[in-house]
Amino acid sequence: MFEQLISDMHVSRMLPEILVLVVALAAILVDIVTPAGRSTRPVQITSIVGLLVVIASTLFVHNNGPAFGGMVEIDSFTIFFRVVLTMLTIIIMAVSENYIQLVKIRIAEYYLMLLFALFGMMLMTMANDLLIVFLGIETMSVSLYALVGMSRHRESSNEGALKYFLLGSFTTAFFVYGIALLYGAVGSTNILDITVYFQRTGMNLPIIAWAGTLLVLVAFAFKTALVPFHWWSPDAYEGAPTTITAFMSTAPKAAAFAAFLRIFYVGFGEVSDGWTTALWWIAVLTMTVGNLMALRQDSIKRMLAFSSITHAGYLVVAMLTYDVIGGAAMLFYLVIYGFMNIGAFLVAIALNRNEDDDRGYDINDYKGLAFRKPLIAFLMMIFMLALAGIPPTAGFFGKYYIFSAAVKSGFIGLAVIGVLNSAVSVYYYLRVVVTMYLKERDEKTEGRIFWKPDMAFAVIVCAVLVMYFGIAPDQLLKVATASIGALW
Amino acid sequence: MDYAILMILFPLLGVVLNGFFGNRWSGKAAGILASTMIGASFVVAVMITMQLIGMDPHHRMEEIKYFTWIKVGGLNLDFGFLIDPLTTVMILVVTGISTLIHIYSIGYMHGDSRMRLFFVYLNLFVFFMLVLVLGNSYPIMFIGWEGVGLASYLLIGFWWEDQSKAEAGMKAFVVNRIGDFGMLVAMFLLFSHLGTLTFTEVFDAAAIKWGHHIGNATITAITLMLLLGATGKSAQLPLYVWLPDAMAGPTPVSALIHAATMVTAGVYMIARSNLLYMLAPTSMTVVALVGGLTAFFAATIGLKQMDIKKVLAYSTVSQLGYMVMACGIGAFGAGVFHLMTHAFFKALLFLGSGAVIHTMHGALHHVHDHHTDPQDIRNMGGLRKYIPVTFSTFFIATLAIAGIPGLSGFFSKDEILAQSFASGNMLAYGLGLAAAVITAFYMFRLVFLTFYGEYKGPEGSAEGLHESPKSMTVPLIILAFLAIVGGYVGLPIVLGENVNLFHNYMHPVFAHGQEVVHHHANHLSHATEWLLIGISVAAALVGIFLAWTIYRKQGKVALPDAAQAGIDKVLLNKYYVDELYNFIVIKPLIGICNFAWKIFDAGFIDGILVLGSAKSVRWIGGGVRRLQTGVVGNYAFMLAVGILVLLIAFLVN
Repeated sequence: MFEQLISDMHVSRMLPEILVLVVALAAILVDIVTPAGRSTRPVQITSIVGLLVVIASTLFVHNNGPAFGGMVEIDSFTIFFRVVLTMLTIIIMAVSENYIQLVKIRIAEYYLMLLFALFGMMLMTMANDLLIVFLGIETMSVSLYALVGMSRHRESSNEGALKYFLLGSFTTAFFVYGIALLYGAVGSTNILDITVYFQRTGMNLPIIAWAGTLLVLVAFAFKTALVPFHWWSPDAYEGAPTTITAFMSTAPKAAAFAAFLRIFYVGFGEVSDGWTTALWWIAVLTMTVGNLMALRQDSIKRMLAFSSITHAGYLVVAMLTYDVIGGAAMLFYLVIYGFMNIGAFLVAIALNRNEDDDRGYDINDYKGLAFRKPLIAFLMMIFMLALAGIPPTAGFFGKYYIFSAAVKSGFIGLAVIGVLNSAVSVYYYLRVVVTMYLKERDEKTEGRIFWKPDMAFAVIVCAVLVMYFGIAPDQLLKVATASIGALW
Repeated sequence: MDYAILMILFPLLGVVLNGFFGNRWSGKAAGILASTMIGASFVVAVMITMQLIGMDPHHRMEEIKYFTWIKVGGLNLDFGFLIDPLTTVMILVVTGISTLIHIYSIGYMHGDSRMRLFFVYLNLFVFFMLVLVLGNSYPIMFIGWEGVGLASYLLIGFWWEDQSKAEAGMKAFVVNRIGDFGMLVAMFLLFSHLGTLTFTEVFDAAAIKWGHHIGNATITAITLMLLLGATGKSAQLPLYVWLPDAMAGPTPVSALIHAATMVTAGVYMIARSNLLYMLAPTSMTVVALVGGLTAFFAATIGLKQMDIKKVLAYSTVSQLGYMVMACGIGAFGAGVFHLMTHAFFKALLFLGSGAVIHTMHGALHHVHDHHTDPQDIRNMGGLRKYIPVTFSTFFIATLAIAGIPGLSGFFSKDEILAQSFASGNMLAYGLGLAAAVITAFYMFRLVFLTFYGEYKGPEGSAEGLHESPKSMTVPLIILAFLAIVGGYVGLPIVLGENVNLFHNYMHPVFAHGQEVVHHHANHLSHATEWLLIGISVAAALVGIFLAWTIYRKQGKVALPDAAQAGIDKVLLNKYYVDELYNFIVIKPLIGICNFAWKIFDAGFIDGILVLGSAKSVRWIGGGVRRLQTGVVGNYAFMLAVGILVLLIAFLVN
């Protein structure tokens, strides 16, 4: 009877997610058997090896379809994000051990929280039911709250975590309220039922259904840090240990966009005329405000934090197209953005003078870096050019696909605003290149360089991928197109 | 012709070898290696051209596809090259001049500690420039377009100890971004209307789609956006401001990138897109106007510049204006012809000025003078005696640019003027003719002040004046030879039907566009042609005569900056355009940034976070009580306001 239940539920379709939990449990065990006060290296290795198995199980075990009675849907879209999110998590874990020793975090929970966050994110990407989205978001968020506050002895870390937690809870309340309103109108929280309901009503929705849709939109806008729901992100990004900042600005953002896409394309697609106007304005605001704030930053970490808001704006432009080309452009951009942003953050970690000091990420530390450390400067230049969207890096194609998709769908004004914004962003990215290549070395600002083999390896991998997807964007774009196709 | 790829692989190899292993050999060896690589590219370019010439004139077009680059969702792009007469002219000019300038640089950069890096950048530039002219689609061209911008920017700021040079690099890049914006929008529009971006397919599809709707708003918008791109890269009004500042870079860079090759990319792009322009007569008029005004306007600024390189910089802007104007009146072939001859004589002028500066440096160094500006022509004079090779080659180039019959510049400039007369656009003809007089004047002013009269440098420094080394003078002599004979491939039609070899060679490239719009070149009678030639020559002679009267006969000496007044002062200050940009663009931009900064950052982040940090100590240490009224409350309030605005917007909808 119980076995029957398991097979009806198609639990096996969630094998990778179950494996992530198993890895987490294994990591806890490893931590327990490691003598106290030792490094967390064993936990790190256990987690990474486990996640490699997760990727293998995703790629080689094909078992698509709904599970848990249609609560979740495993399709090529899910698989795409499973692989991407796990890879990003592995990169972050790989460089973390030396870093957390440096900033004196030294607790195995760092890895456990990453694993739980990954589980939550994976759940979000497959959720076919608003309640599962909620579950995924909360699992991810609670882990992130803890991660942001991990540098316990540092005030800004505590402050960022607290603000993130409070505002996150606030938004969660809105999200739950939105789900409740939709349930009131539709009588179900499953997005397929919601679609059927919208097909029947068309644009003549009762006001509670509109309000519910809107509140769900707000919850996603908050998680993806779109203006004007971005208030938490600069504080949280600045306060978090930098590896976690790199993580938060990429993987959770990708997961939130994945759920955003599935819920709005599949569930609320019928009433897209209703939400595109709101998203249009959100896109314009997000691109512009993020840019204007990044312009003035002298700290690389803050500059990257603000610019990640802008990049979320470009992603919204892609999402607005509501077609396969735009969706594929969005997935493409999410992947390459992940690599270029993590790469840039890792270089920032390598050069950070003092984690506890607010000026630890000062741009002046980069003066003449090209002559001091040519390789690091060269890699950083690749990431900066990619973020600025200059060919032949992948960043150029990412933006190119997004804006051409927007034009094709008739969002010409939006594309123009987007291109103008990315022109503005060239200024602050290029400033870093100028500082590295065209400024004289300044002995006063030269600090230690934290460049360990694991870090070097991860940064080079990111740089190679950023260049590779720039020179040969075809394959990734094909995979992205096939994945987004699952939503139609 | 698959081996065309070698042309871009050689410079790339140079970048890799010098970039990664170059610290194992000397800067000179790096220079020789880099020059060899470009030389090899030149050989490939010659072979390609020969092979193309060997083909039937009507089928002189080869598209080589190397691999599928992007194939997804309607966009189908191969990485490939398009080889036709236009391409071969460009690759010959680019690789040929680059080889000479690489060799020259070995001498010029001698002793610079970062010589190896310089050659890495230079090779990188050639790589991207070749991608730009060889690519078979707009995106590939755009990759080259951005790449040359990057390389140029790195080279302008090469001597970073000088802050103004680093800033000039930044200015070049930022201004070019405005142009790139136009390029991107044009590409998006082309793709959304035609579904392709490969040159051949775009032109075929455009001819079908708009062939019977000439002057359609979409094609006009596309071509105007492309023109915006061209005004950025080719330094036309109103985006020319970066080019004169860019001359802060090393002189070989000015010669190669900012005179002979990169800045002509805009002209190349318009010529490549000639069919699109033919479909949009309004855009053509705008192109002609932008070109003509630039030619005239920049020439007038050149009248009063005191820095030898600044004179040449404005002269370049002006000559680029001629090329763009030629495209605007439909004489694309004449524009490309001038592009080629200009590459010869302007590269020569820049390299010559480099040799002059090199000499002046030596002389000033001789007397340990570090205050006198070695580039200011007011400190020169009489150099003819000391550096005869530099002088004679510089003089040949001056004759060529002034339009003296028998030298290359005459043939191309005369063809542009004749064609603009024939097209009936008398404004273009008038601007071109006026610019020709002014050009002859300021070029001879430069020659007279630099090479004639008395040496005006610091006392005793004359003994330090020496001719430059062989590696610098040999390229000068070769370029001088080209500046003389380069024009004979395009003799005026009046001398016979088939003497304009260049025109005939290029004709297939532009034939399709002319067929689509049933355009027929207006032929002038022989008498008119001869008359126009006479007028052109007279214009040059008038300019030279005026310069001779003022600067030789009356022996007028240029005044110090402070003593300038009236129109002289306005010209010296370049019509105050930089100041105008500063006032109407940069200041408001800074204002907006500051405003946004105050609202978003100073208000919420600085004010609240800094304040918040102080408070948070108390929160964490003390009570939770404060949370209710603290900063987070503000954030939450903003969130709620956001939701409310959205809700209202939703309901209103």
